[in-house]
Amino acid sequence: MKRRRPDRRAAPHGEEGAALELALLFMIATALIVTVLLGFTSTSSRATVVTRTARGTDYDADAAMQAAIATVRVGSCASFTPSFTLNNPTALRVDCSTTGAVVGSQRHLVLSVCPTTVVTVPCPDASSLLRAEVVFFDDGGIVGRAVSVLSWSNQ
Amino acid sequence: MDRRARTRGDEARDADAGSTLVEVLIATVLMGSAIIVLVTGMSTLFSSSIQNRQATTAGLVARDYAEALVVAVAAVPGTDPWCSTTPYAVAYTAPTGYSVTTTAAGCPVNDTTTPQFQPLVITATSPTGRTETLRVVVRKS
Repeated sequence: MKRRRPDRRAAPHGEEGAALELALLFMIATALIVTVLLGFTSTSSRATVVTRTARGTDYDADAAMQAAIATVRVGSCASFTPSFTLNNPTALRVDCSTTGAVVGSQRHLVLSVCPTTVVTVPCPDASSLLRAEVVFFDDGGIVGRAVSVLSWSNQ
Repeated sequence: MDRRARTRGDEARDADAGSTLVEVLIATVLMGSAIIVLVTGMSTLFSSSIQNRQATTAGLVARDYAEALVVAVAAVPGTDPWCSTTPYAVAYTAPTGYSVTTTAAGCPVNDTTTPQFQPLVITATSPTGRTETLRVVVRKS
């Protein structure tokens, strides 16, 4: 009696077709690795941008405050809007308010840097990017002869 | 008997013939493409990492210079004009490969009614030429 060979289609294939399967697996693994690598790159780039923006915000607030101090020093206590270019596109203003303490020819003022999107004047502490308490000395016949910064508080 | 032997031989050869070659070629193309993508991706990652690291360092250089600049302006003797359009004598040395330049706005009229402040633009350049700018304001102390 003739022994019948098993059907090739039903038999185990051994390594037949393994090359293609291995290549597909390799492709999938490669795609995953590249995705992770690009994720690292994307995160790194975003972190750089976020750091730059945060740094710009800090220095914009500082620049606005310095300019406001110089302006109020020779003028009166009023809101100040920077006319120079800032690091970030966010527009800022500096609000000025008195502390109520007036000693001779000294002006005790509080200056707050605020985004212009905040409409409340003076700027609430919760919205203030930078707050400084400054004393201006108007003695000796010179308005703003000297300046003393009592406190400098970042948000 | 001879016929059965030939048939078995033919079947054995058929199992590895034709399609295996095509598979190997396709697999080679796929794996080659994957390797190219992988190498390209890693190259992009490394270059991007270097650029981001240098950008961050350049930002730090600009910040350090800004702090030293404020100190330098505050140290100007009261008898001298506080403002200058030429670079201030800033005590700061940038790391190797990095450089810092400043561009100053004009000085205000030096009187008692004009606000005495000056905007400046600090530019830090990395070894690969990447720049970070920082705008600051200095004022009369």
